Amino acid sequence: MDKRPGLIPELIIPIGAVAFGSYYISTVASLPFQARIVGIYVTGAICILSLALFIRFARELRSGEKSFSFAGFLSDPASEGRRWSVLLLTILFIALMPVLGFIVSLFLFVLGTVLIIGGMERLKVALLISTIMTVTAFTIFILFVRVRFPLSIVDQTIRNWVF
Amino acid sequence: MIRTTRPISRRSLIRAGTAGAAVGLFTPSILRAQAAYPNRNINVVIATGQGGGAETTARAFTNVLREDLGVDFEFEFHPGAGGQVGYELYASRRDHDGYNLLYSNMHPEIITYATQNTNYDLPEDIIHFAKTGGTPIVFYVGADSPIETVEQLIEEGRRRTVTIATSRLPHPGTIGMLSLADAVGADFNLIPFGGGNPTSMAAITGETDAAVLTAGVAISLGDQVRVLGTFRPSPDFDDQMGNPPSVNDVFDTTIPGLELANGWAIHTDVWKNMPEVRERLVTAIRSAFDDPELRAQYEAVNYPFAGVEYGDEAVCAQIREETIELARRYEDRIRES
Amino acid sequence: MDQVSTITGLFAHSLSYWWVMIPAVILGNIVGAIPGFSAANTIIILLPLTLSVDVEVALIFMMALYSASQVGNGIPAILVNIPGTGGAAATTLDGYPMAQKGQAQRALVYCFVASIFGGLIGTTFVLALLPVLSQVGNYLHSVEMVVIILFGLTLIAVIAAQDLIKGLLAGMLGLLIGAIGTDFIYSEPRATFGMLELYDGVPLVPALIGLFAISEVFVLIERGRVVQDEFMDVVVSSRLYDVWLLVKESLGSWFLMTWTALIGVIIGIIPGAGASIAAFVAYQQARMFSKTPDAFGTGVPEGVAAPEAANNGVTSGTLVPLMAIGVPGGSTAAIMMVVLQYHGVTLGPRLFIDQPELAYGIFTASFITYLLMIPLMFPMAQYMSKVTSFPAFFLVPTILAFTLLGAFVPRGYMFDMGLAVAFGLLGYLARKTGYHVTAILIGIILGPLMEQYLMRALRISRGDFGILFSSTVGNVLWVFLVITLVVPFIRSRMAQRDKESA
Repeated sequence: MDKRPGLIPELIIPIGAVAFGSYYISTVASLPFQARIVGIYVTGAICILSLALFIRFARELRSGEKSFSFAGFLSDPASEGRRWSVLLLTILFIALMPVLGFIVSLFLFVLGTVLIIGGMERLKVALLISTIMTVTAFTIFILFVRVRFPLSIVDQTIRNWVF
Repeated sequence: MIRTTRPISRRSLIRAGTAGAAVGLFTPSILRAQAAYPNRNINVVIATGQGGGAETTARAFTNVLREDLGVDFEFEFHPGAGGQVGYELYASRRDHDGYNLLYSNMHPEIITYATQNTNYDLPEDIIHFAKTGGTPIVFYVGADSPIETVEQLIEEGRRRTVTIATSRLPHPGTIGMLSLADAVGADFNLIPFGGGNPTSMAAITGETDAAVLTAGVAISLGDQVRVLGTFRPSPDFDDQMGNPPSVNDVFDTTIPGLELANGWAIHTDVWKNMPEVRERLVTAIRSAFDDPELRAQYEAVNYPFAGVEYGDEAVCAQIREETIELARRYEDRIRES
Repeated sequence: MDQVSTITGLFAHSLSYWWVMIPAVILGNIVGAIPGFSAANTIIILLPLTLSVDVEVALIFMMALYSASQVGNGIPAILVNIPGTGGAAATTLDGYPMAQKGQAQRALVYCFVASIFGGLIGTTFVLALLPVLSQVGNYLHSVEMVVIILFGLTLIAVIAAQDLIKGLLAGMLGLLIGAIGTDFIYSEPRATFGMLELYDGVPLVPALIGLFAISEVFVLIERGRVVQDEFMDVVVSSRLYDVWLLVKESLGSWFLMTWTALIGVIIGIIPGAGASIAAFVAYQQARMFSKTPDAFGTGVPEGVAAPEAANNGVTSGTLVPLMAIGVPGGSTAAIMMVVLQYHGVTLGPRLFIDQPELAYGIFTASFITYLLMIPLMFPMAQYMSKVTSFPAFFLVPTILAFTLLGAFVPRGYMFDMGLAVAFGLLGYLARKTGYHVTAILIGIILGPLMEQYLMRALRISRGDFGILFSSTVGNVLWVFLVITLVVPFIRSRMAQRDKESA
């Protein structure tokens, strides 16, 4: 496998920034001068800097210093597996909270995350941590502060039962 | 951030408690199961930030309405884009069930509606149905300013560019000052400061030559500002501001009598299809004006009670039509300014 | 002389309210440490309480809560890289690297000492010079603010020094993200992707905790704990005496703390400005006057002390326009005004004549609160620093859950939780590929403030950039800014020459 550091990950931010800058300009094109000015100057700067960066990357590629790959971005498969599983779980947590409600989604999320990182052998600890977290968060956010998180039947029943 | 607040008043607690107990004792259980509107807390959406005039006056009303309707009010604040965020959120993401109301700064929010591409329609989606009061638009300078009168301000404006702080460009104050400038041939440069407090501050610290805002704000600033003129003479307010002259009288102009009105709005389909909700709300809001407690609520927060008057659906519709017409007329002028 | 004796009497009077201050300090620390909460929204939650008690008790309670929450903000910023507010973001720059090196306790002590010291200096300064300070607003307008914010923005270039192009690109990306939302003049939406939630700009809390805390969590999964393995043996010292030694050590930076606290007071006085600007400007100043500027960002205690002293200076500064003119300078001050209004207190110059016990009392109360924090907070430092050696399987879920819920709190949109994750990914990518997360963050925090003042200045001048050099105070600030930029350059050149000649 190629041992040289890969360039592709480094390209994401400049390409993304140029794309975002172009989108930004497209939304302000018809606005009065004062609403436009910052976007134009900053996007201009982004384009110049990205261009400088692309030239540098091209040189590094040609001199063989770096390769056109993802090398160096990902670490060992076990850690990466955990990292992206946690991310997936986080997205699921946010997506499912409106359906499952506060308590159930939070409990499952914490439980799942502890198990992903700590391993299945920590099931008891995981149950303990997720129970304590859920109770603490419910007490603070729902009972005391009444933040308007999506509540399911479970949440409402418990809240009514406490009050 | 959303939360319930219940300013404690011993009297109201006792009263509510007694009333609650009485209702509980004497109402047959079947009736209680299908209790009439409202039987749970009412949610109020406000399209400006916390601590503004809308919140203060809305709370004065809900503190009175709470006793009549027997339920509590919860507030949520969604400022941004001159009211567009709050209105859009109210129209599309709050249940159309009569338990969600909107309390509005009518004029600026209608101007925003008239000049922006919004995803809601007035009055097809949201209808203003009860005006709770209005404050005249006035303009003033800081106490240390060399400018003493409205004539001097105009004189300065003919000689050089005069800077005027305003809350935001889509605002009746902006329209007033621009139409005054056009009528007398002065050069006014309107600078939006994004809210009442920074606007006042700009005039007091001398960053701008003058500021245009509501009479309520000017009165609350006391002798730190000097009110030069008003767009809508109103004896109750004028007394407390050193009787500033009416712009139209001084310059013989025909600028509309600009004010900033507050009022309640609701989803139009609820208004049309749920007569029991409509009747109950209108009755409660109407009778709040006769309750001495309302005045007490205003006085408790040092807000002028002058200008607090009920206006029905037709009054609101008239405000809406006139303001939309005014905003469309000045749309390009604001953009060019 | 009469006023002096009044104020002296007020200190004793404020002290008699210790029973209000102690619970308020504890509560303030807790809410300050939870991301998404702030003194402002806590006071709103507690409105029923503050409205039902005596006005003096309410005022002292709010003041103590406000001061303590500013101090509390620094705790998660140092321990787990969670800045709950824009002001605390500057504290993470050196606080978290210190925690990673096993110096969490030292960082916390510096944070507490600087906060308390800064708070005491700030309130004393305000009490002594209130009539003068209430005039500050007359001299610092939009033009001057543009220059002051530039002090903070130059940090982007400084941070980017190791890889200038990448760092500047990151800073520019931050500025452009900060320019999302309706503009300050016409209220026209810009680059909102059609999403209502972005009309008011990118919300700060999700961006902060995403870029810093969530991206850090993704790194933590691999590393196992906050403290890096090679520093595990230096971590813990749980004797109170060691805390005392650290306190003595940190007091050596008294001049830095005084100077940055005064910066905080002055910036706090200007309406709309506040802790974010003050903390970054203070950080930039500390770096500039440091003998080892290049060590900043790797975990130097001065990098914690400066922003913390400034943050707590802001606390007193914000109250100056509120008490002196009756116009609140920030959101917490605005809420305090609402409470005072409900109690029938009219703010403004007359208050100092009619009710000096309130007008001056708020500052003496703040002073006493900071004194009370000394016995309350230092013993905590030794226990709290243990967090840094907690295992990842505990820390990661706890941080993720609390920050995500915290992202929701300020506005109540599910969208904001998703946004925090998106910023977490951006932050992770930037860390991994050598674009500076801090540069992005400074752009997001200071960009909108900069745009607001710049647009206003340019509107006043009708587009003439000459206005930026039209005021005396502004020009003095420009000169300082140039000196700030040039001095380090000259210094490094001289150091190089010394090396060559040696």
